[in-house]
Amino acid sequence: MDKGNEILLELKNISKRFYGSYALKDASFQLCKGEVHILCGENGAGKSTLMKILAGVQGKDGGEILLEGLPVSIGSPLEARELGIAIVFQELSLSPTITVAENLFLNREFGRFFVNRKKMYAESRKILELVGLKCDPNVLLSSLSIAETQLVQIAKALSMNAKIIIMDEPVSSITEEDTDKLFELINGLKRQGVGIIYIDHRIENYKRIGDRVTILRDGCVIETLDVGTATKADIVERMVGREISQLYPKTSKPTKEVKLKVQGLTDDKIKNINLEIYKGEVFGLAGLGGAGRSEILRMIFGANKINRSGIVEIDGKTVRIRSPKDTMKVGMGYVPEDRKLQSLILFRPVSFNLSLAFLDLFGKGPFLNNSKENQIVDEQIRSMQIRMLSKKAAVKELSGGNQQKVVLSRWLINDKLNILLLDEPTRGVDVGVKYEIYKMIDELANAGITILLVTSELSELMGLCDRIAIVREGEISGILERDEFDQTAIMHLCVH
Amino acid sequence: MESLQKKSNFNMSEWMVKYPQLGTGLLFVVLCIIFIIFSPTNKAGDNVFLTAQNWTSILESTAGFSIGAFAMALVLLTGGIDLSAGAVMAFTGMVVAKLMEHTSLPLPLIIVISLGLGLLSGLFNGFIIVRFKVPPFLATLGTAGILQGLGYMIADGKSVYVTNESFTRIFGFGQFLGVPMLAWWTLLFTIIMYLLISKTKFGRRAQAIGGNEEAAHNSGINVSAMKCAAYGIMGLVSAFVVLTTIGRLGSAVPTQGQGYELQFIVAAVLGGTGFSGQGGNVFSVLLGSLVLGVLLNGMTLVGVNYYLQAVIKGLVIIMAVIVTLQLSRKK
Repeated sequence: MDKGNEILLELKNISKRFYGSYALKDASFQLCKGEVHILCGENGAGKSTLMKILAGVQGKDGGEILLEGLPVSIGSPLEARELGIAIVFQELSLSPTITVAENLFLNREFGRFFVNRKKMYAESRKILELVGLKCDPNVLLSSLSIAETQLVQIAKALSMNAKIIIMDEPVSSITEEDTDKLFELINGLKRQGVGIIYIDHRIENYKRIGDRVTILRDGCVIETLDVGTATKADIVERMVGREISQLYPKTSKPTKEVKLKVQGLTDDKIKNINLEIYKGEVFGLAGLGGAGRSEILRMIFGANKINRSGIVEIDGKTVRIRSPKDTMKVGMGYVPEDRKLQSLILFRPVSFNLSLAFLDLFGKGPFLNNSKENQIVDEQIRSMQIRMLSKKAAVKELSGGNQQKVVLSRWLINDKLNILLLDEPTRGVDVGVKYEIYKMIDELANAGITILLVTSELSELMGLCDRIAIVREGEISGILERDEFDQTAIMHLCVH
Repeated sequence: MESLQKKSNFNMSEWMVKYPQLGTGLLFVVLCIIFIIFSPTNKAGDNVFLTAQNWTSILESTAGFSIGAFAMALVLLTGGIDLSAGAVMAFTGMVVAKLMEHTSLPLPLIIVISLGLGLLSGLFNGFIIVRFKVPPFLATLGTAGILQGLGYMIADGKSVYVTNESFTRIFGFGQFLGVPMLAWWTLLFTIIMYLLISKTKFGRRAQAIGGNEEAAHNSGINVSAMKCAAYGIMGLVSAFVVLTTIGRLGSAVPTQGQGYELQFIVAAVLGGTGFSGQGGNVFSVLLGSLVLGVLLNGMTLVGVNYYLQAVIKGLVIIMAVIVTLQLSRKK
């Protein structure tokens, strides 16, 4: 806001209704030139609706949008682009199967009939330099990392003279190192007077990058605070509308009994992984994105089929793993990284998704006993406090946090569960549910269940785990006990 | 005025999402009205479309579509498609006819052989799709070519007349308790396929695979085995359907079953089955088959030229797919 508080964008009393209920109600907010304005709120608070209205994806039912003081209407994504509003989505809005340069100039290629590739290449180089990306514009987009792909999106926005860039969870799936780079870039953009609307679930990041933060709850703007003076508690309390006491409950203690032993686990991503994990232990895996943490979980569970070798022992007995069925039989459960792609049948109802892995609980033989299924599903919905419009509603319509509860429930209905592999269980989940998941992990560990936890949030690992193993380039570079936990020590092992 | 218009459209689509059979039902009524209006009258002055005779023939053809369409719905539920169903019919149909007319094998054995061949053809499809990850439409297209060719080779290009009376009775024009055998067969398959798709763990898993294969795999479902089973059932059912067509025609021709795979797909899609695990309600598929039966019958009756019929059928497929996709998006 050093640019003299010049207002770039102003939203006045924006409303949006879906099926009679308000997704946004009289939401007002301002974005100044050169400002990073954070939007925060639990899932379903109205952030994405607000964004979609700005991006021209959805219309508004009421209110006014002023761009540099002039009222504008944003009827389509194209109009948004012409007004200089660009969005960098977490999900890919680029095509992975064509090259970086082709993506940058998609729909605005040089040349009349044939694409002037030489010029496109040269221009791409220039554009990529703006965001400090040193990749060859002629490589396929799919060969870039998530962080690099985001940079390409930002580069594309800049090349189209974007005045306002909306970033939706830009750092949720990239490493600390890439996060630093991105923040540096954002600071550069600020100096050029670009206004940035920034959405992120991690409150820790706000102080590093934001100027002001606007908190939404239930479709209403609750308050806009200065990031410099607001505390984390201030923000969280406004988000959830109540006080939250302690963030990481940790009461469980591991036993001395080895539950899961892994020897020489190897495939093309990971090398010779050896681990011994105790009953009732919460064991964390730290590492940069792509270091092989997810692969370790997938290998142990049997979800990866290709080229694997190594031994997995449970309670001292070797388990022959050909598919997830073999590990599920001995009481293992697995929550993958991406619930939408890897866990849920999105258009099917909650009950369908919840009972999928253990259909044998609902009747012997080939038939399903519907009343038994309903009973178990209802019980689980109650005990996990899964919130939804109706039991018949597609799981797609649930908020991220409630979807994750459905995925977790899928394994919890198995009373033989004794090892639970969790990959990013709190990603894209709002603060309230995060805390519920932390409590659940602690409760499960107290009940003697062994938990293997992968998360990119170091504070989570340090708050929840008994031990943390650090994975670097497919190998374990160190294992720390709880009293040795230290952010710099862990980061050091991740990188060197 | 404009907003009012929008509002009423909106409610309509809401309804369609809630009751997906509604659209098909509506189409059924509309088609019937059109055909009643344009149908010629017979000597007695009755509307031909409405005669009992005509409806018997509609129901007969519907029976064949529906049995095949149930199995096709299962394949679609697993995210696949089977373009070889018609060729399976041509091949196994020819085998049955030849065995009946040129050998003295007992009828039950012949039927078991042909159903077995159908099953094997389906499993072959499944194997190619699962083992080599060939897209289902290509794999089954290839199989269709192979079986079509084999059918011609066995037939030597000629039709075979079926004189076995108990065969034509059981699968063709016979009756049981005053009800045509074909109706009994349809009833039997409706029940079996309803139970299989909606009431068993197998059906539940099939739906999960079409919806999200990766998620199904991560939930411990043996995706490969499930897919093979779905194609196997499709092959088996196709081999059964051809028994009913031979039974009614009294002969097996090498071109038998040609285009049937499309009828199955149309009927399944008209019945609200999507291409990624949506729908799959057996009763809706039965309704879809009936709509197709009425459409084909009515077009011939009001004198739509044969080639134009193909055009209209094609348009119906496209329309049905569009509606199904729209609905699944709304959901």
